[in-house]
Amino acid sequence: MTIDYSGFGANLRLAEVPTGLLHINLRDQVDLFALGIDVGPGGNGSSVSQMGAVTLTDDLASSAEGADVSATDPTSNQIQLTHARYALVRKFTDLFRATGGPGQYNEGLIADDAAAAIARTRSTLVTGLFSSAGANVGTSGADLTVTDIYSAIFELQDDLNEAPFDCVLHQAQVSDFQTSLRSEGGAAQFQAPTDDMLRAKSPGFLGSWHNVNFYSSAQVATANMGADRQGAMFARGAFGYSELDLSNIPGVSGVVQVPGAVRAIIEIDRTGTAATTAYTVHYYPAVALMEANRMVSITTDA
Amino acid sequence: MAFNIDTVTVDKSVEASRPSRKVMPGNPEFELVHHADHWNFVDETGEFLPGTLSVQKMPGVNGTDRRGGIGILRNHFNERGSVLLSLGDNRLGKWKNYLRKVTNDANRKHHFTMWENPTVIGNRVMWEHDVEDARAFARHLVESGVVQPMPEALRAMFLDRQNRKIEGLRARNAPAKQIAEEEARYRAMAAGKPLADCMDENKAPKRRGKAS
Repeated sequence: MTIDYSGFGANLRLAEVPTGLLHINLRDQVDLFALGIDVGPGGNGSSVSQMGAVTLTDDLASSAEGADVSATDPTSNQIQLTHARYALVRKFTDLFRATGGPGQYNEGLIADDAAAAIARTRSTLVTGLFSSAGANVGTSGADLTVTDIYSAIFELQDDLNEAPFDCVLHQAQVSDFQTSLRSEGGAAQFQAPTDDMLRAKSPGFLGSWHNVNFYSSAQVATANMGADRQGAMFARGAFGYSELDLSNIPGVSGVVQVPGAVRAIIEIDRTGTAATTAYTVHYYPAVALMEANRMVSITTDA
Repeated sequence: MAFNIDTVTVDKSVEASRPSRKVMPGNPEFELVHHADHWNFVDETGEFLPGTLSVQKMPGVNGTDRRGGIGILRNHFNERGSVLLSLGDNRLGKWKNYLRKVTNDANRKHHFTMWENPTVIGNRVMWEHDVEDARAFARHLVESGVVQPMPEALRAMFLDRQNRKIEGLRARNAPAKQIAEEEARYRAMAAGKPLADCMDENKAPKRRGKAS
């Protein structure tokens, strides 16, 4: 008689064991805040931070000798950053926690989970600015082409923006861009960045082409009543962001900082009667377009 | 898979089936905005129709407060001569309350417009776009006075852009067929005619018979 798996396995072996690795399914975790200006934590007396902006484009006027010269005031405007609460709760029962083993999903992953969730939230906030861009390029219902990218570059250049520029596109727009780039001739045809841009791309940073840094994000919204996606190209200083400093939350037991996001906290909330433990991520961001002429929306087929 | 689609003003508490957050992730409620210089040329009809972008009502974005109030943004749009198409605006006629929403399995709302019809097939969602009704809506915006007609100066700007596009194609030795189509589009934009009417003179010459 042989002691075999099919005969004795049901009693003497386990049905399944964890592999020691936890597979994280596909997710978009590009953090677009890195492309903006951090205007400071704010929160000194209000949830709204206000920043002054001034336009200094006046040149000297020729004046006759001995003539009085009248004063010319610069134009100004203000930018408001309104902080709002964002949160995520993960809740575990004791039974789930107690039965966890190495390589399985458990509360040890909360910090990584929180950091990724904050990155995605930041990107969604930034893509929410694209509808306020100062100009628009692209053809509704038509795939994005290299020409559209050039048009966006020209718009930013015409408005005195300083390169390099950043460009955030939806994945569908990125694929269309690559398709168009395949048939590109002339000066761009044999450049190494053109070849590089045609390679298969991961989400997030795609590479640089013609002094534009390209990023993809699933958070890029639709436009033209759902027919298109509204990506954007922008120069540095196009948008600013602020995150409330939560370090002065008084010594609440169980409040910890999120790694890599110093202005967010995780609060641990134990409910004894239900034998559950909840982990709540708290985050108070604000983001605003600082100057419309530093951003061009790119609306092309979805 | 069938699931309930609600307008944003109607919130049914029970839904037949909730799509996965993977295929329909939560997204913020939004309204459409038309910027004065954003117009789309329609090849089929030869008309320019107002383009729209989605203004996401996300607290913390561009002064949007925690209740979704977009007063600051509204001022910004007014200064630019843009038109925010508020959901409850009676001037929108039958397209009033154009936003729809579906609650996914994470209890988050996925918002989309009434011109988008989602169908979940396996683990992906296919979006059917009602192009004709979306164009009818855009046409209505002008006819009802919500959006002012496109100034002729803008037509000149779009013609200039189109011309630049043609020049770019020529410079890059693009296929003759592609250049011919863009040239026809230029003529269509200038004359306000459907693209097809302006393609005639670009038809490829008839193939000659075999030499005997």
